[in-house]
Amino acid sequence: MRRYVILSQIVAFSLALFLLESMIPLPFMAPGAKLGLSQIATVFTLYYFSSRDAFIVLTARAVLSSFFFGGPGVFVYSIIGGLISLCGMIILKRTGKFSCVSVSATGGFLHNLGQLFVASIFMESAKFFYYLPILGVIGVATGIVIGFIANELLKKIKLTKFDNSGTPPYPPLGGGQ
Amino acid sequence: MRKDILLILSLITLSLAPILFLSDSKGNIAEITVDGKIYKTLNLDKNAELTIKNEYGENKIVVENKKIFVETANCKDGVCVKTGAISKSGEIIACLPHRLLIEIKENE
Repeated sequence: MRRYVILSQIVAFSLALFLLESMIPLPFMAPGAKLGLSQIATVFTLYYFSSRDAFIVLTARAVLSSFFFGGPGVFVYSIIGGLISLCGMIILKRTGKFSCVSVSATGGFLHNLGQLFVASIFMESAKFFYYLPILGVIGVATGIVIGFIANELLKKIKLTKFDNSGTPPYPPLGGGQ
Repeated sequence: MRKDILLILSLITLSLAPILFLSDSKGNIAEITVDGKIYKTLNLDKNAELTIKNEYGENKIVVENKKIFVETANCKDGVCVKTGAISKSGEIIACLPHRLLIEIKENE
């Protein structure tokens, strides 16, 4: 039960980041290029909890952000990009050979690649890969930044190791509960 | 650490790969597709204005000085307007909410 309380707090945090990002004016670089701040929550959950929990956080965030600020069209791009990105990150993390930062960089890259695939299918044109050089590099760069932030959070919040079996001894998050 | 750097470098290489397939030549034809079907083909040598209005929304397309751009659009994100003017073969302007795609081609 406490697991879901904490996970929903992370989803709320992720939504807040999503909203915050939409308020930051950024120069237009390429269609669909974003900082992806809300992915801090996904990467953090992936490392702090489990793949399954990261999946829950990602899906909940995508559904809620599309419901409040986007629409059904935005949802498809958001969820498919997010899922491809998360699957790649889970696989890379399982190998145990890469750091959180490069796993997150791959996530950023795959997110944008996934969205290009969705655009290509929807618009029935493979021409969208024209944007891969810029979107791919932006994805790697933002992924590195997200990875660093998630890594710092993990260092700061790593009080007790999460145990997937039984009742985990959760660290107090924020307090006042 | 070494593996991380290799991974990041290979991602960047993968991103840049499509550049090899891009031609640098100027195109002189703009093909406008709506819903995956060709709507109209414009010659970039002639200045023109075209408003596309359908159930998805409205986009005003302008051809000027051998370049094409979307001047106004009533979509939410405005990505097509921000993309600016294009003129090189292979370049595209997309308006995803309106299912509109403008692509530069060379006249064979």
